[in-house]
Amino acid sequence: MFMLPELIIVLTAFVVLLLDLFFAEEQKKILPVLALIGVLIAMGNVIFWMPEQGVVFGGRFVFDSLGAWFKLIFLAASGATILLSWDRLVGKVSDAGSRLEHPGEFYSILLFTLSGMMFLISARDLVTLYVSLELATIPLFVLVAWKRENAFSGEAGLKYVILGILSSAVLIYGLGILYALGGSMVLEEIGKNLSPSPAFWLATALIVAGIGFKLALVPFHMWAADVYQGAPTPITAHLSVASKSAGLALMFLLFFRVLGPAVSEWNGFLAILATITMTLGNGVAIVQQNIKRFMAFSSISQAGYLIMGFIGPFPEGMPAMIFYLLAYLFTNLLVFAVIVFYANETGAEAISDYRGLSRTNPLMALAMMIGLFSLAGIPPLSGFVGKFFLFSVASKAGLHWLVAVAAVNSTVSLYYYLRIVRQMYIEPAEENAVRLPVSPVLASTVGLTLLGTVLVGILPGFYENIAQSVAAAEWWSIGR
Amino acid sequence: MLLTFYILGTVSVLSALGVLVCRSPVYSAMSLVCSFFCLGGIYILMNVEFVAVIQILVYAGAILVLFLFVIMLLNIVPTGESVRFNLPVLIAFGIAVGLFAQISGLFLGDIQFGPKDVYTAEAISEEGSIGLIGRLLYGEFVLPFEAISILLLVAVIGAVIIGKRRLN
Amino acid sequence: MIAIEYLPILILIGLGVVFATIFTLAGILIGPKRRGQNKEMPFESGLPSDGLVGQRYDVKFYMTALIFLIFDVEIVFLYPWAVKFREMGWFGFAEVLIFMVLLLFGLAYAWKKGALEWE
Repeated sequence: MFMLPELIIVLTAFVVLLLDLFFAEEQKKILPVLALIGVLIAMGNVIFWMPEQGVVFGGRFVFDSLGAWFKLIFLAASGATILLSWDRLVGKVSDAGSRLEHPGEFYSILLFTLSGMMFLISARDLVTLYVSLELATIPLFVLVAWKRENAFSGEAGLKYVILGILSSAVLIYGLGILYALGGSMVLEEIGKNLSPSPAFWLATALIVAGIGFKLALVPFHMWAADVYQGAPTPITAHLSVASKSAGLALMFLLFFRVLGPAVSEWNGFLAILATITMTLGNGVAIVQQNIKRFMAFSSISQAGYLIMGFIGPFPEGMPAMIFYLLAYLFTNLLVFAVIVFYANETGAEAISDYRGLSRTNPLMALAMMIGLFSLAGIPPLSGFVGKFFLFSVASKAGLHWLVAVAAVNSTVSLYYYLRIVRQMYIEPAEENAVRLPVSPVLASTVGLTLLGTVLVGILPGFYENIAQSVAAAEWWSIGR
Repeated sequence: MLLTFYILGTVSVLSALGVLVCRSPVYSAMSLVCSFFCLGGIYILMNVEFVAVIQILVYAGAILVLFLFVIMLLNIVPTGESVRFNLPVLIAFGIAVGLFAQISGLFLGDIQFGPKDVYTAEAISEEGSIGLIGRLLYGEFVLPFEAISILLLVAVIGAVIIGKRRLN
Repeated sequence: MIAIEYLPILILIGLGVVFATIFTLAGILIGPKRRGQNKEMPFESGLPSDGLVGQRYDVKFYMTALIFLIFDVEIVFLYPWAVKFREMGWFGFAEVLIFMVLLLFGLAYAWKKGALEWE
């Protein structure tokens, strides 16, 4: 039963929701534990079955080791989101504005979007693909607007709904044309039947636009900053990691299983997309004052690096992309864990609010610095190793100018990541600043993600494991 | 037959334009109902009764009611201002016209459709579109079907969470 | 191909449009119009109207409409099942049962949370 991880997640979501109906306010504090246990069991399940291949529903749902890596990333990101939002939902925060209500609904909706992401990477036909994509995105609209009495959150929710639906509409138009051209719902069959024609290019353009919205690639990124700023901070973390991974999973399925065989060469196009995405993301991040908007543009530029993994003869870039996704997962969540910690205690979101953090909470400041350095790509942290693999993909494909652009961008990004480090380490603290208490849940989250950030880069074997999985995955008859 | 199509098509396009042109949002919503009904008629001409039924039942019935509720909820007063053509609007207009020209050019010219799926027009009319959809929905596409029920459940929860003042 | 069985509906719609137009126009054209200052005044010494005619609706109508919409969409998925009921047998029944149970769960949730109450 290769669908068991998904079923566990759905079941956990139902249990959480059902218990929420009957629990008293005090008993609801156990709900995050339950949600976390469900995620951990599902993770164990995925790891257990990783080496195997399985088909459910006559090939409409496929479990393979490559998909298992994606599922692990989704599960880890959602598990971290559960940890990050824990204190806010059980009311253990000093800042009243950071408090979130309705823990039962929050966790069940979070788990439902997780199940949608997991169905997505296993989908092998257009209908399942589209429905699971919607199952992954529609719950996020609710989560973004969770603090509806807050005007920013409401605005973010509205923007996200409207642009998300617009992008879905664009995407499904493209998929509809693909169905007309390919004569089948099965991704692999469509891929076999496609050949370049004007209609095909129209469909490709529509699909790229749809994916671009989901991944916040430039020029489809304009929703990102407002949504990231308005959403509750743990959900911002979830958007920047889990939702982005789901977008990559969608891009992977559509590009390699459907469009791939018909397109002989897309390196140049992807290189341009990656270049403008990382450059604009970096350029705008420099002037941001709000840390969540800052992280929004930072994650836009990270998406620019990530899509470099699609360059080159397939599937050579895939291991590098998944590896970087893994490094990005831990690193970004580490930074967000500190942001959540600081916002929980003070409610502050401006970058200048972080000044003197190294005096009051030296360990948290250190963790944040390591996270930011890893995002910028400083050796020997995992972000550096990941970027190294991604850049070598581009250089193997002969795109040396892209490597140069990406390297320059990394340097620029170091500048703006250092802005925060400067606030924390060089600027003096406020006079009456006191040491902020760190809750055990957030401390362990920071510890776990910090461990991941450091170990993924140092421990050998991660990349080889992923590369083996990619090599072992079944590619059917892809002619690239 | 063709005449019916042209009448329905013209009315549908005109009422869709009416949605944009009407000053009062209620008139816009009513134009949208008219447009939806015409689309339903076109679907019947195409022998896809199921889509036609959904079009009338869900779109013209439920979604438009929702639109009207929102309009009454916000009580938008017609301002009498006309749409200003500033640069972003013009760019968006240009992109929309370009996309429309591209798509219509594609379908007017000779589009090379791929191999036909097994569900051709003949196969559909033989089994009836509702029956065929049923066979596929409860047969091949069980997984998305059940996923949709989860999606609808999320919609219920989301609506209650965001729309309700106080929860019990 | 020709959906001839829908012709009666088309005729009905056509008749509806024609009759509505005729009677509306007739009312405008041949109805007596006697306007005067006294006729424009509010009935039975009521107050002169002020402000907009439309009133803002309460958000609770919207709540009900949303939940109605969701279950309306659910019905769409049950239509094909009704057509194929005998052919699908117990397997189809089980599928739809799961579908319904999941949605009934949503109904129970809305009920328990008081979303159906008119506060």
